[in-house]
Amino acid sequence: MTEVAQQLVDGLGRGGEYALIALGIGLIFGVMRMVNFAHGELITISAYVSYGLALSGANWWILAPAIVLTAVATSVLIEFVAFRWVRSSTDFAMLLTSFGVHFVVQAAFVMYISASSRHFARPGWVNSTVSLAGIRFEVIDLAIIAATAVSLAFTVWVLQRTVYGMAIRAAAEDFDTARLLGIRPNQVIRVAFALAGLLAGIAAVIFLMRTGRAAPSAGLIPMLKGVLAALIGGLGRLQGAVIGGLLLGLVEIMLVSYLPDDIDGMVNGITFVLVAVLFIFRPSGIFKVRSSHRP
Amino acid sequence: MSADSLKRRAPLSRTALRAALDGMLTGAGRERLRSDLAGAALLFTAVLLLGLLYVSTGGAAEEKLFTTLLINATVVVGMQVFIGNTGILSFGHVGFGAVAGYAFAVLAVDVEWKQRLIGDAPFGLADSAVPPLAAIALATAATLVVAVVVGLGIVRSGAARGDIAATVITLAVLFAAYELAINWTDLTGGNRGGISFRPGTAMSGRAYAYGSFGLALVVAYLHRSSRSGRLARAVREDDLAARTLGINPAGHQLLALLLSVGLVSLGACLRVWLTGTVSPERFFIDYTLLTLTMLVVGGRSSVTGAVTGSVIVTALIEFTRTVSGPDIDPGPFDFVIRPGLTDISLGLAMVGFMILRPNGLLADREVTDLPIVQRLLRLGRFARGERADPATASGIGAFDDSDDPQSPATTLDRVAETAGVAGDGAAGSGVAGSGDRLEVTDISVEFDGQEVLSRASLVVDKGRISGLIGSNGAGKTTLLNVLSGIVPATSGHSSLSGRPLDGLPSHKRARAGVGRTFQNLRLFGGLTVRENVEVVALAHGASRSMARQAATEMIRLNQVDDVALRRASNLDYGTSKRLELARAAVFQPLFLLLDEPTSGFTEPESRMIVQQIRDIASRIGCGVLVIDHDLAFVTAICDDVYCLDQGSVIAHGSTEEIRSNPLVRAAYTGE
Repeated sequence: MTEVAQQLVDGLGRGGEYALIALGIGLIFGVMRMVNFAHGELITISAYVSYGLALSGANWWILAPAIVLTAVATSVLIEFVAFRWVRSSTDFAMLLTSFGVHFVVQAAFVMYISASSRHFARPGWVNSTVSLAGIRFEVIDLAIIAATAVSLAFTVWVLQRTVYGMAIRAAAEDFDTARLLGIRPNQVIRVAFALAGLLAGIAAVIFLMRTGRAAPSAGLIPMLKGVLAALIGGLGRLQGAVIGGLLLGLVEIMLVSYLPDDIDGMVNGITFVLVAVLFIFRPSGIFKVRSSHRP
Repeated sequence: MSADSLKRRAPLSRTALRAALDGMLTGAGRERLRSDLAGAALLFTAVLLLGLLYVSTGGAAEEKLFTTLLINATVVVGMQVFIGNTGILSFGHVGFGAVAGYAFAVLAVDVEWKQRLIGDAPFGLADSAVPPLAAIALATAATLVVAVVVGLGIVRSGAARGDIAATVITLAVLFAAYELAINWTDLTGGNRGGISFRPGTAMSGRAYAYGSFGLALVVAYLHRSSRSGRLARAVREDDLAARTLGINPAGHQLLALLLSVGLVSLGACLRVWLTGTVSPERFFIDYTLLTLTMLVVGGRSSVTGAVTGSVIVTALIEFTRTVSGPDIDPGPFDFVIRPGLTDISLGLAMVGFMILRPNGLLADREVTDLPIVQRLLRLGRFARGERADPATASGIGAFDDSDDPQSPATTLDRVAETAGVAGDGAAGSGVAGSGDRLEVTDISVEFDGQEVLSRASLVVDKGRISGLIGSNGAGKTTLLNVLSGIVPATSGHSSLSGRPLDGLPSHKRARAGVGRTFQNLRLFGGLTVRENVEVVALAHGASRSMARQAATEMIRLNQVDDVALRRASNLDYGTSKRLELARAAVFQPLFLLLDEPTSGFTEPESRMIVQQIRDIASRIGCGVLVIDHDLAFVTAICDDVYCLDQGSVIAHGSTEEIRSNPLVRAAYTGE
């Protein structure tokens, strides 16, 4: 019982992180029909900014907001520099554009900083635990769950209650019609990227608090997990992205706990294969797709 | 006819096989083979000359770079076979390469050396070794087994162009292979050393690299112009339309994947043999980036593009590697000339091409499309005393079959015969009396709990033109979608001449004799007008020459022959509509389902399409079910009309009866 509860919290902690990234990927897919393979670069760039600030003595009270700001700014910037130009292109071109951006950013850090990773101090409380009802929880897991919940509530509020959110939802439903009805595409897309950047920034804070490490490919695995989560829940369904993220986190924790030790290093590969098997049978995710489009 | 003719044949039945053989042995087959081999030979020679010229300027390093280019080009041409023809982006080919590379190393490294590296290898693999060529064959075979499993998965997921789920399945291959290589240390040597050949036993010379590159070119060209390759490209352009016209994507996608993985495996084995080592990182993301960049720079839709991209990108990275190496003082360019330059160049090349030229330098152009090559091929025919046919002279269809001069009028029927689709009334006599009928009984469809069709029934007889009218949202298109197998019925039955259609996938319904068009046009945009029609005839088992002639006749009948060589995506609306009709009719379906053939047309255009539909119906003797809003059009063309309202058939009768029916007037005209 205790063990299960601990794993649940662990899984939700990890899954919350994925959910934040997946939600951003889902938002961008909604307005652009692009699966953003460069979404992890927001984490990579934030990591180097934290490293730089930490070098000059900043503490986490400064790092955290700096990370979030960096992620938002980077997200909007990448859209402006690269994605804007492939907006009406094929899925193929969009996918490879984001894939290419990922490599450009990664290579830039290799060129101008180093191929090896840089470390900075993690907050002191990261490894501390608390006991609740006889069960020991890691503080950071609880913090993540809280942060995820608040971010999700905020996202829902933005999407449901603000003009921009409604425009994003309208665009996600039917971009062309939304545009014809007077929604300005540039603005909607920029807001979606900013919001996706904000969520990725929050995920980055959590991720970097755990790892305290900046490396050129730091964002790759979180991005891939976000893509998987978004796909599991069904691309373009924002609730789906959250559920997909949580599910993926739980499955991973289960794999880590129950896999024999000698294949412990294969958690990512096994997760990938499991998701692939899911897609073989349900290519559009675990939820039933609305079949309203006309062939 | 009827029940008997409904025992439709699979595409590889005896008739089709005979037709295919026919195609191989007649002029069309020979001509095609010549053109494919000419393409392969030209590319091979071009790369060879370029390479030899380059090698002659230097020594061992240049030699090795050229060999590497040949091997990388083999891999990239291999990737082109799948990615180019199916339009599915794969990140997994390098993962397949990893499987092949490791299998090759495990098999080929000599026993004594292997005992030191992976002495604990399972299955006694450390206790024996095979010669390199046998190891390549075995490694490729083992990788193909993996590819069959993955391919069945991709096919099962219903992959179409740009499908992200399929791409993620391929990504899983890459990651699974990588982590397996790291963690299965007994077999792979793990992350540190991987597996290396004993110094001095790695590949020397370029002979194998030449061989693999040449083989890749021949395979890619033969596949490209093969029936399966052409059908795969039709699916790439529009998989839904392809299915409803009788093309089953699964087999063609799977074949493309297997050929593709076979070539990639071959290249991967040589890559391992040449460098004398295999490790997890060598077949992971970096190599994926490199090969994908090569593919998209040249143009993923053409073999020539894949080779061109390989050459250009190899030159690019060699340049960046040289300038950022230790021997060169970057001077004021220090800010760009430094380690990492190669990767950033590849990334920028990929992004740049996707933004500025998403189809690559060559798009889908092949070296054999060059006018000079065309002229040479034609000269060759004259030299052999073969007669040039008029189509060739006018620039249409350089490889047309001229040995088989039969009247086009019979070609269509032969297509239908091969496909087993033709009814009694074929051969132009047309109209009624054959007894074939398309029947819909009590079909209901629900979307999200909402009933779109409720117990709708109708009958279309062969030789008749029946109309289906109703206001927007009445369920007309849904009914057509049920009939062509796109939308499953919640309840009810549909049948063709008594044989149930329920549960049959779209392509089988087409083969049973149901053809259709779409309201919002679903042409194979990247193919030419003629190819649009031709691939459908091919899908129904016609030989190459028959398919070509049937297409020629059909596009003439539908008056789109003046744009035969234009790409379908560049047609105006009216021509597109006529082409879609030609495409649906070329396999002589027993029944044609037309979804709003006049939508968006002016009055004179509508009159023209009425004539066109009549011509086709009488030419192939089919029954027609046509959806339309335009009562004048329906009155002009239909023998009887059904009226659908809110999912139910509320009236059926002659056009006069329907016009005066009060229910119809209330529901439809709003009077």
